[in-house]
Amino acid sequence: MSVLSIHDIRVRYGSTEALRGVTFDIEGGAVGLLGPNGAGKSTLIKALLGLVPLSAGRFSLMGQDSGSLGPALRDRVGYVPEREGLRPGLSGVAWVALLGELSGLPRRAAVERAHEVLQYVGLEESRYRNAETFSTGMRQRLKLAAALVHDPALLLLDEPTSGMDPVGREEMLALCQDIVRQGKTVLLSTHILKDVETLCKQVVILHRGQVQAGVSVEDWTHSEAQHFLVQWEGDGSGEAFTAACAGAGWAVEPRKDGLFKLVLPPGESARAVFRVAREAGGAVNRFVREETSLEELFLSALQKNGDNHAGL
Amino acid sequence: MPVYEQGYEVYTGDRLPLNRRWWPLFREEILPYFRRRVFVFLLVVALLPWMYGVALTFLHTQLGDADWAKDLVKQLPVVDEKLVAKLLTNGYDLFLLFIVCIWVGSGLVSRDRKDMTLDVFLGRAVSSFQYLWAKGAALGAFLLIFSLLPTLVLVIFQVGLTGDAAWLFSHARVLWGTLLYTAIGPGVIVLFTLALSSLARSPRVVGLAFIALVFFGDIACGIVYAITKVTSVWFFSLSRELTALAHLCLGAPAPFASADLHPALVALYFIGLAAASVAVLVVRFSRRAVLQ
Repeated sequence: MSVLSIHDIRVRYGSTEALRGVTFDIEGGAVGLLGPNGAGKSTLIKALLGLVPLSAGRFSLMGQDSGSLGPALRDRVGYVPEREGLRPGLSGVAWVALLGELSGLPRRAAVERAHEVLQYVGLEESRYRNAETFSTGMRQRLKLAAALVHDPALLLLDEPTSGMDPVGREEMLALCQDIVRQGKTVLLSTHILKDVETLCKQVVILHRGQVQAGVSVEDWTHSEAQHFLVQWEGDGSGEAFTAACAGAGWAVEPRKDGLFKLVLPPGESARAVFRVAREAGGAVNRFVREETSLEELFLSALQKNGDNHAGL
Repeated sequence: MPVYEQGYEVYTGDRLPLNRRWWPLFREEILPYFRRRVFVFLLVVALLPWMYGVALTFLHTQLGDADWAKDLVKQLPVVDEKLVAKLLTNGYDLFLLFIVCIWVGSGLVSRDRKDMTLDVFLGRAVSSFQYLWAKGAALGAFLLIFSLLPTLVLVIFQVGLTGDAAWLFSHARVLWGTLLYTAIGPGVIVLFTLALSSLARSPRVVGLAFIALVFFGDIACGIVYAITKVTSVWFFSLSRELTALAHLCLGAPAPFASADLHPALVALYFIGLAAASVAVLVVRFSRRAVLQ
């Protein structure tokens, strides 16, 4: 059973259609939601929370239709907003406890739970400080604590590492990874492709309100990774090696210093490269397997749409 | 040590029903004001005119039969519907009521919009109605200090000092009239303030709009009346309408002679204001425009 199943969701702002029939399923784990500015990522998250009205479509959470669950659906969802979203004048623990109460926890339980989650995200030392005195990284953690206080099954994270330094980002991603290990489902909307590569097993690319691609990150970055950087040394120029590779049906791109970028079709053995190098009258001195980055997938998905990616 | 090694705990406790989710918002809206001394002082001084009512009650009940004082006491106003209507709408308390509306009411929705916490609240299992109910109840609770609460205290004093409920039976309208006035007058003001607060992102802008509509509205009515002598202009004065409403509810003659403040027109004013405010709130919240 899918944790989240989205079917043909449409959202309209006046005459602009922000989401145009978005459909995908999330089985569990962490899923990245990628897209340039204005792609509809935040709108999708807000639509799932009922913060923007759907003009068409439906979605279900844990097999229960959103219409039948009503506001109770939001007890099962935690939300980390992209924007500030903190109440000045309230301490960290008071803010998290308040949101716990709004999610149905009794007062005493909400306060206890607020202490627990603040400790979990590493804010136990600062929990009595006013939230407006927190640094950017601390605010992001506080928002994560607030999203976790009612122990939701699904977490919607809208740019959770935005504005954080590299160490803080790593810690935040480590927290998210641990949350996924606890059996929670995470939908991560971000511009930072590295975060998606680190955390997510699946990625959904959204562009102009439509799903452009939905793939497994692992499949893309490992299984299909038939990209090699090869240094060939032999008699004459590298033209012989280039011709031999082309003859074998591989894509080859000469680089400087005798280096070549090779793309082998899926299933082709790497040993074949050494054989072709010998046949071209030389030998392979350096052989590096390159992983294809998510960025390439992202850009190719956008290029399929014949669009630039200035918003990224 | 990575922070996540401190362990995540699963929550297995109870959850409150959906219809009780408004209470924490109400509490968080009210409590900070009790920590502000100036605000508490303002609420206390708002009760000063009512001390006059309490003093009259004391004199009538305790000294009304004393030979040396009865002639003097007889000349004092009696505590009845007319006096309560006058106390409810004395200019001093109406001014403080509007100040409280600006102080508390201007930030009800706009502050959440400014702090970007509105979508955090509505992203929880809190409906728009519950959210507005909590915010409105917070302002309404403070406005009770200007309406129902002091009247109840006065009634308790009256009954307590006389030792029987005869006064209460003969002046039952003091209670139900005040209740009706509170439901309509301060009730509509709460709706109006909520609607105004949902229109802007800045509490300061909402406060200024309230001042412009209420205080300057009164001044403008006064100026137009002074020039034209047309009494119809007072239809647009909130303080005049409140005064007329209180006197209508309590069955006392209005302190100003104006045919334009006919009961039907007063009703039309408050129904119109309430309908416009509700329409604004419905449009802003049902279409989620308030979140943008």
